[in-house]
Amino acid sequence: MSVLVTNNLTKKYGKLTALDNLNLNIEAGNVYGLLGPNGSGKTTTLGIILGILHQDGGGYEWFDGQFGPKARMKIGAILETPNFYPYLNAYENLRITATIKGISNPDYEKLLKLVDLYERRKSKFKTYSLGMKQRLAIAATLIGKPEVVIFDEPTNGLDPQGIAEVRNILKRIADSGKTVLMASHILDEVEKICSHVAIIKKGKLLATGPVGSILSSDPLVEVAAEDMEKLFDLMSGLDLVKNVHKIDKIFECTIDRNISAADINRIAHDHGIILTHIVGRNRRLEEEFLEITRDN
Amino acid sequence: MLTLLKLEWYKFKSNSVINLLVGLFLLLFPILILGGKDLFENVPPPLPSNKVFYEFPTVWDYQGYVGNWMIFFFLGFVGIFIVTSEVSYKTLRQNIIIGLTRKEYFNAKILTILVLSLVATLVYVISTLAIGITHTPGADLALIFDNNWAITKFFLLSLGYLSFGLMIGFLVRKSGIAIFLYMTYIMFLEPILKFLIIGLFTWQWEKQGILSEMLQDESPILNFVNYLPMNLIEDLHPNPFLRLPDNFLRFNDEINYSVLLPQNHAVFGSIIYILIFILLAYRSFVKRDI
Repeated sequence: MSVLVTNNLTKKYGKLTALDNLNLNIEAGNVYGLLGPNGSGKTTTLGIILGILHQDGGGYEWFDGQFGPKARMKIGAILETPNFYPYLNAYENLRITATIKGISNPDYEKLLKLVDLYERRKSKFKTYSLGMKQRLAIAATLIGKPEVVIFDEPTNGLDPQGIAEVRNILKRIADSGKTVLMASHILDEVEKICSHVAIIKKGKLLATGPVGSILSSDPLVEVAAEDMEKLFDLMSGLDLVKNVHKIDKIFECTIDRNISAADINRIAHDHGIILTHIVGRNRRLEEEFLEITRDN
Repeated sequence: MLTLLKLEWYKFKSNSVINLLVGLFLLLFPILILGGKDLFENVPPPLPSNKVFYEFPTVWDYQGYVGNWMIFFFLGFVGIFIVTSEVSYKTLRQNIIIGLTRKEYFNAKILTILVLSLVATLVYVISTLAIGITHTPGADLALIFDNNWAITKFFLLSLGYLSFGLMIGFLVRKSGIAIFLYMTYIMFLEPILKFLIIGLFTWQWEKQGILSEMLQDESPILNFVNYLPMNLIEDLHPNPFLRLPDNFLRFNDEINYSVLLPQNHAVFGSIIYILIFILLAYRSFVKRDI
C-alpha cells in the first residue's frame, strides 16, 4: 500500500527554489531515508507533508487519501527540534499529545520506560538535557500507535551515547513493522537503519531506490601500469569490474564484492600487464554520496 | 468542542503568566471599587456623593467601568499570550504536526476566549450584586436588575478586548510587539486618530466658513470617529462621569455631537467588530507557513 506520494512538490522562498518538482513514493513498511546535505530541502519537504508549510506547486497524498485532512492522526513526527511546553513535565506534555490524538488513556509508563525517561517524568521539560528532550519527542511520536513515524535528523546534537540510544530505539521501531521516514545527512545512519533512500540536493531528487543499490559499499581497487590505455581496456572489459574512474595518474575501479585486489593483480598479470600501483580499499561512503551529489 | 477546551486547559492551567493575570483579575476586580470610598470622598457635582458607586442601579455602571480597565489590562494580555506563547515555544507547530487541523486549533482559541468572557461576566455579576445589595437599603428585584442590558454589554466588552488581543497575537505572532501594539493602539493611536480626523475636518470647515453650520447639522464625520473599533467597544461600559456631559450635549440644540455612542449602536457595532477581528485572525492563520 502506498503510504505517501508526492507529485511535483515545489516550494519557493522568494527567488530561492527550496523544492523543485519533488516526486517521492513511500510504500508501507519501508524504512525510508531522506538523504541530502544541509539546505537541500529535507526539512522543507517534511514541513509541507506535515501541514506546517504551504507548497507553491504540486501536491502530496497520505494513505491514498483514505483519511483526508486527518491523515496526521496516523502519523507520529519530530520536526527539527523537540517542541514541548517548557513548564510542563514529561507526563503532562505527553498528555497533550494524547488529547490531540484522541487517545484517552495511553500507557505513559510503558512509553516513558521505553525511552528511559520514567525516572524524570515529574521534572519540567525545561530542565531536560538535549538527549532527554529528544527521547521525549520519540516517546510522543509513538502515542496512538501511528502507522508512520517521521524523524528529522534524530541524532543531531547528541553525544555518542545519546546517538547509540536513539539509533537503538529507531531500529526497534523499524523492526516492529512501522513505516519510517527519516531525514538525515549522516550516511552511516541511513545505511545502517534504512531500507530505501532518496537523495536530495538543492531541492532536486537525484536518486531513489533500495539502499543496497544506491549506496553500495563495493570495494575499490586503485591500479596503474606503464601502458594506461591497455590497462583501461582490460579493466573496462571485465565483468567483475563495475566502474573505472581516472583520477590523476591512477584508475579507481569499483569491483564486485566477491573478488579482491589480489584477483585483479593476477588477472592483469595473466594479460601481460605489470601493475605499478595496486591498492585495495573499501569505498568510503562519503565518496559515494559526494559522487552522487557532485555538480554534473 | 469539549476536547478542545480540555486541551487548552491542560496547556495553560500550570502556566505562571496566565495564572498571574487571571488570578489578579479575580482578586482585584471585585474589591477595587471599594477603594473609591477613600479616594473619592468628594465627587464632582452634580453627583450627590460617592454612594452612587455602590447603590443600585448605578453600581452596574461603575463596576462595569472598573471591569473595563481590568479586562483591558489583565484579560486582554491573556488573549495575546495564548497565541504568541505557542509560537515562541513552537508548540503551535507541534500541535498541527500531531494532527490538529488549523481550523481546530483556531477554534480552541476562540472557545478559550468565550469561556474567559463568561467567567469575567460571572465575576462582574456576582460582585455587583454583592456590593449593590449591601449598599442599597430596601432594594427590590426590579431595582436590582434595572441595568439596561449591563450584563450582556459586559460580556461583549470582554469578548471585544479578548478578540482584539487574539487578532493581534495571530497577526504579529511575537509577544513583545503584540503587547506593545495592543497597548499603544488602545491608549494612544486610536484617540490620536480620533483627534486628527476631527481636527482635520473642523479646520477645513473653518476655512470654508461653515464650521458652526456643520456642528449644528447631524455632521456624520464628527460622530463617525466614535465608531472606531476600540472606542466603540469601550463605550459599552464607559466612564460613568462622562454620562453627565453626554446627556447634556444630547439635549442641546446648538451642538449636535455626542460624547458617547448610543448604547444599541455600541452593542451591534461591537458584535460586528468582534466578528471582523476573528475573521482577520482566521484568514491570516490559515494561509501562513508556521
